[in-house]
Parts: sequence; structure tokens; C-alpha cells
Amino acid sequence: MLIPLKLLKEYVDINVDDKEFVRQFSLKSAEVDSFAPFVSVKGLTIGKILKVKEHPDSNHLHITTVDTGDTVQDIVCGAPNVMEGKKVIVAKEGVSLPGGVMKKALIRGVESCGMNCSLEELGIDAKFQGYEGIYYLDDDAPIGIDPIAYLHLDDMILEIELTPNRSDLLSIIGVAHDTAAMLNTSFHLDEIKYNEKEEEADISVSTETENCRAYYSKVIKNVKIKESPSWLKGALIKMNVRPINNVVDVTNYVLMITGQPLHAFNYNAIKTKKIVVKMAEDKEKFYTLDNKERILSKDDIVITDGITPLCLGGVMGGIESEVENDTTSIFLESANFNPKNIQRTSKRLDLVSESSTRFEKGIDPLMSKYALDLAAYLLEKLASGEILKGGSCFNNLPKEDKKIEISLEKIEKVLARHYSSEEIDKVFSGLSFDFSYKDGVYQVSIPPRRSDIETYQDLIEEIVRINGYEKIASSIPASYSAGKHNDYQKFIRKLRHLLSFSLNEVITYSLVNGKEVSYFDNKEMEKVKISNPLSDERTYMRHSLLPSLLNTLKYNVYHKIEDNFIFEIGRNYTLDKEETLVSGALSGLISSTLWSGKKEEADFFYVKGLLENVFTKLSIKNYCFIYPASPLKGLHPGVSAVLLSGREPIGFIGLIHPETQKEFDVPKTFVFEINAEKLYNASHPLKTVKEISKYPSIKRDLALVVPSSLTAESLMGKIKKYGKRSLSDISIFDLYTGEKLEKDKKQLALTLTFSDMKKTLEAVEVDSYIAEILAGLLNEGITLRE
Amino acid sequence: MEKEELKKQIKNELKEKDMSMQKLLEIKAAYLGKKGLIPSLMGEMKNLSQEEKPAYGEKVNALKNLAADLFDEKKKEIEEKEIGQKLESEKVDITLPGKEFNTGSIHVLNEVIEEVEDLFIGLGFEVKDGPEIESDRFNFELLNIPKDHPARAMQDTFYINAERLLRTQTSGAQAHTMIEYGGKKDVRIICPGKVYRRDDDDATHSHQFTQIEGLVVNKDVTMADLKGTLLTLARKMFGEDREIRLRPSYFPFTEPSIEVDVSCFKCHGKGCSLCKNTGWIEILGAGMVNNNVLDMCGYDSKVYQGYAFGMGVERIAMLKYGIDDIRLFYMNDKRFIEQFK
Ligand SMILES: [Zn+2]
Repeated sequence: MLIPLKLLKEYVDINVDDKEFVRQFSLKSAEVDSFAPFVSVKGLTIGKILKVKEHPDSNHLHITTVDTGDTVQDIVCGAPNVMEGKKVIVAKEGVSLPGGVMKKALIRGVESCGMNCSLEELGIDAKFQGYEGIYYLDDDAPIGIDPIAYLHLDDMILEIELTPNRSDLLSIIGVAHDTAAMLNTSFHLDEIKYNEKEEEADISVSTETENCRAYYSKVIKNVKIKESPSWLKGALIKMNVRPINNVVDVTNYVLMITGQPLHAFNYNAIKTKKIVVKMAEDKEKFYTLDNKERILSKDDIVITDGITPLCLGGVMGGIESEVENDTTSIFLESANFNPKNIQRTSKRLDLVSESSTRFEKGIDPLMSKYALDLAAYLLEKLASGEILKGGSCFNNLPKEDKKIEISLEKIEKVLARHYSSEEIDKVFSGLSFDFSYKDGVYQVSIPPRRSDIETYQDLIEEIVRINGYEKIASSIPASYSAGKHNDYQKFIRKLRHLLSFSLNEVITYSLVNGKEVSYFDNKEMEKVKISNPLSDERTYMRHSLLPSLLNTLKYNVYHKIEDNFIFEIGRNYTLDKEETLVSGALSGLISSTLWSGKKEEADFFYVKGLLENVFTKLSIKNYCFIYPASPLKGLHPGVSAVLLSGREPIGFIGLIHPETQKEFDVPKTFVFEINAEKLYNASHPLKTVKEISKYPSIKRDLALVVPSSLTAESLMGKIKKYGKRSLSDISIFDLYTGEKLEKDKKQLALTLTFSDMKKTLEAVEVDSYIAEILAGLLNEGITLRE
Repeated sequence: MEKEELKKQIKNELKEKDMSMQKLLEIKAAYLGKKGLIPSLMGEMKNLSQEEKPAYGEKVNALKNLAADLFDEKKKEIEEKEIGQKLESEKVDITLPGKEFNTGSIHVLNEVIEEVEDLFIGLGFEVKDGPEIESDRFNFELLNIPKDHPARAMQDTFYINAERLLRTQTSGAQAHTMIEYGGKKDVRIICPGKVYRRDDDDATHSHQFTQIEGLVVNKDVTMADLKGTLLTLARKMFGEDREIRLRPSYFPFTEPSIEVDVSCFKCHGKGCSLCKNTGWIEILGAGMVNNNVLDMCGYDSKVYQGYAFGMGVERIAMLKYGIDDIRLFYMNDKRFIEQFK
């Protein structure tokens, strides 16, 4: 909404300077987008083109001799419409235009002392000039004065952004009400007086639908349609409305001032002498002002002559009843329609106008009659219209104002501040709300322009904003319980921090394309599809984070960033369940000391080891990695593993399949994806400490020859099985496969640690334990290396 | 032989500066070895009378000790020198780069969330979360946004079907918690999470972004409490000498509704490009909980009142670190990410 300050001042007194006014407005009324002069160029002059000569060295330039009152100077001008005798806007040397500061210059050898301007060159939208070239003022514009003032454009414009509840600020009068309250000054609305003819208005109005709630009308004869005076054109241009002719301009002007949309019909088009408001027939055809055929629906309100529609109520007039340059009599409408119908019609037909926007949000019903009178008065003055007596009307709106009660106690309980009765009186009377006060309770009547005020909470808002939010104290509410993360939230945070020691955390989009959604999903979960997606790339809610992580890798590699180690903690989605996953993608060098030639590349065991270390720090117990029963989607079948917690699969790790690598266009990459909630369930933080032995332990190394297919884990399981209780730890320190061994055999070297809680172990005891283990293993075909 | 004479003689033999250990041992043998000078002096004792023997023995012993001390001293000197030479030969160029490990980082949005969570946990809040695939009821209806409400147009929504959608605000978690608490327990929660709006991605819009919602409901929490809490938040995030100001705004689930500005931390109120020359920067929206929301979620609005606030995590991070394009958070360019180590 654009508010010209001079226009606003016609309705309210402003007793502070501009800067303070804008500050108060933004703190008490609505957000201020900008506050600036409509035209920021200073020092322009009205000049008269005395003579136009061809430029000797150009076929499109002219040399104009321009009289600006104090001087007559030559100005080289490239405009195609240059003409002798015309009044123009002259920017002389030193004037600062949006395009730069004017300087005297030689243009192809001819000295030019300034510029004849178009409106656009002054920073005004070109639509307000409507033709190419320099702008021509009226022929009687006085030479030597400021053209901006002459055009009534010398004003400051306050641009405000409205929240959807404050439709009352969509008019100058509405803004004036709020201004009066915030500055504690007076709001004024002049009484309107015009002459009525003896002849009575002869068009009767009625409605067949409740969606038209009020309708006022006037008949005005003998209007002379012509250009509006410059004060009216200036006012409209400042509010970004293009002047058309005096009748259209008056209705637009009244709309901007009062917020009440008006419609002017060609009186002669209403042949039946009656206006009947109806709901349209389904599929009924209608030609709107813009000469387009519209197919109507039962939701649309139409203004008819009893038979044919003349106007799409509140949205746009019809071509048949349009006011044209030769129209002499008009029928003027000021109505109140159901906002919901206007909203639907405007949306369905994609017809948005200043009028529909206001109807949609709800207008002030008390303005309907005032707006009609204001328009009649202006048409009498500006179009020499003859206003016929009376005017058919109806008004079915409630006559009583809404009343809301609020106690002083409640105000103070919510705002934690004591308000004096003067302070509250000032707010209510400033906003022109009638109110009474008795026994600590205010009864407030809400004028219908403030349809947003429905409850006592709304009244509290009025009090606190108009009185000032800065008067509210700052306190911290007392808390009697300690805040906390729950154990799961703590776990997730610790997981994030541990992984972030080695990996970069990323956040990627939850919405993915149809291929990515279930690329790594081994459970074939039900897909969640967006019914109104923005693009195919963002249509499904993902089941795995890995496609997005691989895309992140691709992006980085494309930008020549080769070593990428990333993880994300995010959700997968089905309609009724969202699970948190922790996923990672690792590719490239983990560590390097390049000048020494040492470097280490990420591989399966780096990823596994990283996770195992993190699991240790998170007290994850009873987990193991096993070969997948069937190949995992997107992974190398021989370099991938399922993570089991107890017997339940809770995730996987592995090298991506060469095909996957090709499809995602990424280098060799290792990934993992684990269900974080299930991982949390596998976490068993220490409750009581375990006793440690006071006696030294004994270590023995064994090199065992085992079948190639036997996993390290099952070998250790067997050793544990045959070992006694004092076997406290097993670790693997070497793996050998090669020529020295039989085919299908490998050699694993292990360190076994023995300890006893009660005594120092003797070497002979340990020897016998080892012998038992070896005997057991021998039965399973596992031998000690010779 | 007298002590002084022996001392002079040995010192003279050991005067060579860069003497090797080998040479030292050779000289030492000449004095203290089996056939050396000292043992031979001791040998002469047998030729003395019983009375002379003790005094002579004492004297030779003293000479022996003196010699041993002198040789030890020299030995130590040689050893120290050898260690010094060894250390010198082992010297490295400490300016060569160290071993490079891959070190990770936390995403800046999570860093901001953690910072906010920690502040509010300190103020007695719990952290709550809700589903991202939400029902119309929790995302809109219970927040006082019925079907035809204009606020629905402000938030273009991704729908799955007529009833299910991607949450457009974390405010839904408010309703979930109030209903979970059954209208009795005091509420004091913050809810961080992902939200989605049907906006094309550009420098200032993202179809996915992050919000933190806060809600307090009890019998006597006030607007002053809201103001104090937000002031604490603003100072924690943007510096201790920050101020805030409240401006009227509109959200369907709060009444009164406010927009909160923080005093510009770049120009300290003088006016700059960051604050568009106003000295103030908008950081979040807030208000007192609308009675309709309390009542719909089972809290009797005649007894309970509350406040709520919501902030965009991306906006906070953008302001804090001077980030000018919201897409950077989701592009995950390593060169961007690694700055937050
Ligand atoms: Zn600033």
C-alpha cells in the first residue's frame, strides 16, 4: 500500500517530523517498506521549446532552444517527438537524475546545456507518460517553476506492508485512523455537500442473493467526460494508479481514499431501469471490460438489469455497460459483497484488481454511503454532472456494532504492566472506538472497519501496540524444573559430535526424484509422493540419505574437491512413520603426509573401524557385522556388510557397486547407513564398574592356518568356546594369504590374553589352556602353523 | 710423586680438545690399568717397613682417586659432546607440513540449533519434535488456520493428499505437545526441525528450511516474560550489548503478535546496508498464544495463558556469518562447510 503523505494529512494531523512519524508507524501500526519522495530529483524547471533545429552532424538529434524563464539555452535532444512551442521538464546543469548528474557537454560538436526529460528519466514509471520521448506539460504551464510541484507529485510516499488481518489499512482513511491513535492527534472527515436535481433517480435496486449485503446508488446525468485536473492525476499517480478520464479517475480516487470500490455503469445500458443482484448461472457467458469472454459459475455474483448480467460484482464491469468517452449519464454503484465469493471468483478467473483485493479482505460498511457521496460531489465538480435526487439502496448488514468486554485485571495479567485509565482511554478514543468502563471492566464497541478485532486478546493487542511495546518490561519466567535433553536427544548429539571429528556433517533435501527415493532401500517401503511438486527432482520423500550424499560428492568432485568424507543425520519417510538415519559417504585420502610419500586411502576397514570406535564411545553393545544374506541394493556384493544389533539388522556398510558409481558419477566411495533409533537402543551405558584383576596377565601369540572361507569373527568365537574363563581377550595382529600355504587356506596370527582375578597365573597353567584350545581347533581342521 | 705433580701431568695428557673415547681409555690404562703407573706405585709398597706402609698406602690411594676423578670428568665431557653431535645429526625441518588427517565439522545449521537448545535448556525448557509429514489438523486447524484462512495463502504447501502435507512450520509440535500433556501440565518447550514450503529455490527462498519454535503455557506467563526471554536469546546469538524492539505483526496462532528486531550488530545502530539503515534487523516472530489455540489443544484459556515464538535458523546463521545465499546451506560445498570446523 502506497500512502502519499500530503493526502494522508488531509484526514489526520501529524504533529511530529517525518522521521519520527515513520518510526512510530513501523512500531505501532505496520511494517514500513520505504519512505521516500515520489520524485527524488531536485531543481527541475519548466521550460518552453522556442525553436527546433536539425543537428548538423546527426540525423536523429535536434538542437532545441529552451526558455526556462531566467535563461534561454540550447539543449541537444534525441527525442523523436520534439516540437516547437511545447512546455517541457528541463534538467539543467548540476541537476542530479537517477541516471547521473547533468553536465554541460558537447554532443557531436554542439554544446548542450541540459536535458528535456521524459517522466521515466525522473524515475517515474513510463506507463504514466504513455508515449515515447520527452514529456509534454500543459500548454499553460508557467515557465520557470518546479514541474514536480506543478504536477502535484511533490510528496513523500510511505510504502507499507500489510499483514492479512489489517485490511482496514488498505485506504487512506483507515491509515488516518491508526495515525490519529498512535500520535494522539485528531482524525477528520469533512461533511460532503452537493446539489441534487428535482428529477429523481429512476433505477431501482434489489438483490436475490444474501452475498450482496448492501447496495447504494446514484444517477448522474450530463457528465462531461474529459481529462482529470492535475491534482487528481497527481494523487492517482502517487498511488500507482494510471489516470484514464475524470469518471474513472474519481471512482479510483474514492476507492483509494475510502477503501470502498465503486462501479460506474453507462446509465443508458440499463434499459429495464432496474438493477437486480444475483448469483450467476453455471456456464453463463459474460464479456468483461477487457473484452474477454468469461464462463461464470454459481459462485459468482452478477449485477444484472433483471435479465442480462452487466457486471461481475466486485471484480470487473461488463463491456456492454462500460462508460465511454461519449457517455452522458452514469449509474454509480457502491456495494458490499461477501468476501468469500469475490475471493473465489477472482482466483478462478485470475482477475485481480484493486477492487477485488479490497472486497476479498472485507471493506468498511460504514464507508459505502460516504464513498458514493464523495464520488457524486467530485463528479459534480469535475465533470459538471447533475446529480438526481435520492438513489435506490438497501443495507442488510447488522446495525449494531460488535461489543467486547475486557477487564483491567486481564490486561495487566497478560502484559505484566499497570495501565492508567488515561492510557487506555487514549487508545480507544484514538482509534474511534466507543467504550464504557464500570467496576474494572471495559465494554468496547468495535466499528465495522476493524473486522479483525473479535476477542479481548485483539483489544489487548490494540492497547499494547498503540501505547507502545517499548513500555513492556523484560523478565524471565521462573522455572521450577530443570530443562533437559532426553537420553535419545543426548545420544544423537553425541553421535553427531563423534562423527564430526572425522567427517563433515551435511544437510541435504528430503525431497528427491523417483529413482533416488528407494535406491538403497532394501525394505521396499511405501513411497510418499507429493501431489503438487515443484519439479520431478523433488517429488518423493526419501527412504535413504545416500543418494543425496552421493550427489553431494558428485558436486564436490565436479568442483575439483577430491577427498570427501561426509555424514548426515536425517529422516526417512513413510506415511505413518519417520525414522532417523545416520548415513555417511567416504571417498579419497584419509590421511597423508605428501612430502614423505605416505598416504592412506579410505577403505572398507577404515569405515568399519571408524564406526566401531564411535560405537565404543556410545557404549553400543552386542553388535556385529555379517555378510548380507542377499546382495544389498547399490552395494558391491563382496565388500558390504549388514550391521546386526543382537539379531536385528539395523544398518549396513560397504563399497558402492560399480554400476552405482557410474550412475551417480562419483569416484570409488564407501557408505554406511544405520537406523539411529535402533542404534540408540543398542547403547548400554555403564551402570556398575567391573572388577579388575590385581594380578599380572599373560599373553600368548598363536599363528593358525584356517580355511579361507572361515571369518575372523567365527575363528575368535571358536577360540572363546575352547578357552577357559581366564582367557580375557583375543586380538588379531596379522593376516597372511599366499604361496607358502595350501590353496583355500589363510593364516591368522592372534594374541590371546589370560588373566585371573584371584592369583598370578603360572606359565604351565596357560600352556594347558592353549593345549586345550588347539586340541579343540584341530578337530575343526584348524592347525597351528608349523 | 706428589698430588699436584700427578694432576698437572694427567691434565696435560688430556688437554686435546676433540679427544676420542678410545684415546681416553688408552691414557687411562697407562695410569690405572693393571700395568699402569698407579698400580706400580702400589707395588712398591712391599719394599717399605710396616710403619711406613699405612701412610704410603693412603697417599697412593689419594693419587688413584684423583686420577679416576680426572678421567671421569674427561669421559663425561666426551660423552656430552657425542650426544650433542648425535642430536645435531637428527635435527628435522620443523617447518615441513604435519601429517594431514581428515577432520570433520558440524553443519552450521545444527551448530545454531545446538546453541539455541543449550540456552533454552538452561532456562528450564525441554526439546520436542514432531513429524515432518503432518496432518492438516496439526499444521493448520489447531493453529487457528481454518480452510479459507488467508494465512494459508501466505504459506504455499506441499500436499500428499487432502489431509496430509509436509509441515510448513514447526508450530505443529506446539499442538502435539499440548495435546500430549492433556491440558494440565505446564508447557515449556522448544521444537527445532525441518519445514517445507512450495517456493522455488533462490538466494532468499528454499523449499526446505529449518525453524525453531518455542512455547510456554502456564497460569501466569506474561508478555514481559516473552520479551525478557527473547532479549536473552538475542544477546546469546548476537552479543551481550544487543537490544531488541517489538513491532506489531500477525500470526493466526498468536494474539497479540509481534515481529522482533535486534539492534544491528554490524553498525551498532548507526545504520548500514545489513540493517537497511534502520539500525534494526528483523530476527523472529512471536506473540501470546491465541485463546482459540489453547482451547482447541485442551488448555482452558480462562485459566492458562502462553507465549510462542518461531525463528528461521537459516536467517540466524546468515546474519551471524554474513551468508548471502540460503542455497549454500544445502549445496554442501566442502569449501563452505569446512569453514565451520
Ligand atoms: Zn546496521
